[in-house]
Amino acid sequence: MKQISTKNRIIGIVSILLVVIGLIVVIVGGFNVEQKFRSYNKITIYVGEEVDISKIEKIVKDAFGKNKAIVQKIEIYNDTFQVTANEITEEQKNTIVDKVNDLYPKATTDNNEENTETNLRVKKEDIKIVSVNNVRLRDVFKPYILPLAIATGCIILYIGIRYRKLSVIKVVFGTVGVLIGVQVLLWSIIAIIFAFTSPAEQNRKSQNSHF
Amino acid sequence: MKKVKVATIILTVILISLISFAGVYVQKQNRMENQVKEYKLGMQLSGYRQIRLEPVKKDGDAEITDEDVNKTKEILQIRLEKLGAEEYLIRASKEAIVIELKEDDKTNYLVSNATEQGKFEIKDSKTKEVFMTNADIELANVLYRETQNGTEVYLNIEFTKEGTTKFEEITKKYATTEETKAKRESNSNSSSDTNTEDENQPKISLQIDGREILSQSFDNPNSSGKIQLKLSNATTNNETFQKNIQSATTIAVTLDNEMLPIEYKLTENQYVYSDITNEMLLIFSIVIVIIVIISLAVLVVKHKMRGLLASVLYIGLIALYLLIIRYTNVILTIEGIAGILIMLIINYIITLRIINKKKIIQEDLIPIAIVAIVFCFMRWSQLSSLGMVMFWGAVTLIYHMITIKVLDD
Repeated sequence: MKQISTKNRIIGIVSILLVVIGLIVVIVGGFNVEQKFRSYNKITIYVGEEVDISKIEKIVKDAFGKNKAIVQKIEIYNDTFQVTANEITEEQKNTIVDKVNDLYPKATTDNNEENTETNLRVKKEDIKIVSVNNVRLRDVFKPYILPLAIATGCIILYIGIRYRKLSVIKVVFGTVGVLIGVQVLLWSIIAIIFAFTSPAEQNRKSQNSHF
Repeated sequence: MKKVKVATIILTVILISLISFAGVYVQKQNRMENQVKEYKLGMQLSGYRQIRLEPVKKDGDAEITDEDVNKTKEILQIRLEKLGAEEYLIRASKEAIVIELKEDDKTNYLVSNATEQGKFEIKDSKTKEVFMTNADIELANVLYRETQNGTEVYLNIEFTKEGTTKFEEITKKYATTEETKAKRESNSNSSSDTNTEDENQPKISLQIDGREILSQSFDNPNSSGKIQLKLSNATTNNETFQKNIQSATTIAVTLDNEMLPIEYKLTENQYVYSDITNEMLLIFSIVIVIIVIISLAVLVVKHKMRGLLASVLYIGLIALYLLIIRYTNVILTIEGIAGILIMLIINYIITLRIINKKKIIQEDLIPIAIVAIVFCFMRWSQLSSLGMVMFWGAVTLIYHMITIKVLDD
């Protein structure tokens, strides 16, 4: 029997450990996907003048604390932005609206009437918290299945032809084993990384995408 | 001779690198503009069109079920794929359907056509009694016919067995009357513009989502189970023909699949910028540049002059590769960027093998070539981006192997 070198032994053990840890993480906590695929809440705020997204991000970060929220510009006019997060409460929404109004106050009218309602760029009652459902992971993977199957089939056929002087079945099974092994290892690493770079723990289990 | 060869190669590399990394600036209207083409970024990196569809609530309507929502999603997926959508995400719930679409010149077309309910009806044009619906359609597709005046586009609808029987009865019931035939004949003889139909002529109305596509009677009974609707006049203009095909395809795709079980209204249609900003991309690029510099420094330290030459050639390779990606309109997605990194790693390994005078087994690269070629032909833009990037990486690899042979001399 061919002796396995120390280096290969270490690589093998580390790979197996990663796969086992990845499996445990997925079984215990589910496959924790990034916010893009989860259900989320969002608010869209039209300010009416060009906004500095970095200042808006700071306001949002202060309002959400440790919880992750994403700020995105809407349209090309730089006067509207969207905040998405796992959950947005009324309080958080109101805090953001107040701070945006402070940052971008509306000019008072010529006769100096200080009607606080009409002097606000953004009104709290106009901003609705909208919920958006998650993306099913199978829909995300669906476009990849056929191309990967075709590419894998062609590679296996090529390997079978190239190494036809060896035992074809052994070579093909070996190739399939390597391909599957690499995929399993890759997804285990991804599962581990996502598990430890996710937002606040209390949001995680309820927000996992469904397969 | 060798020195001249090396010097020429190094100067070429410097020139390509300057063009690729720095750009070519020309003054235009009191400011300097970079003439080198920009990268084309995909949905994940630049932004996407977000549309929100909410159910139309009518009194007496049954409550929306999970089955309705899943069916709606499936139908929308089929429609988007058949209409040529290259990248999309659908989020469906009872409250709303949110679709994220790649922003390109097809987006408006997809937004307006994929989300139609697709309700097909053949009804009496006066009494509005409905005779046939979507359930009677077996398939719908587009046909075209060459004529002397150009190409005509037809919508072909084929009915199910039951639908064929129903349609035959309709064509008999709504036959053209003798009075109408007589009027038509006298009209064609006199070449006048008067009404060619008897006012009592019964007619059917074929409607899609309440819009009348045609209203007519039938000269002869139709038992073939097919109807071909002429949607455009003959044209020899290619652009007009393509537009006609597109319009017909829209209707065909809508009818060929079931209609949406729920009627929706469009409540949101906006362009959302990606959360991956240019600053993030810049930071990522800087990290990669640092890794490349360290890798090349290792080459130089280990192999001295050969390492230095190989490093210069490697930088030229990166510059040329990135220029090719820009000028071949490759749309960069996250997968595409991963593909660029993979090709750079492969090129580095090959450079190392050449410097160490080890043999390069070209056959080892064939599985990568297979993946690149298969993915290039996929419509899904993330896959085609990866495929194209790897394909051009393979092309620049060949260039690299030719230029690096100077190390062997």
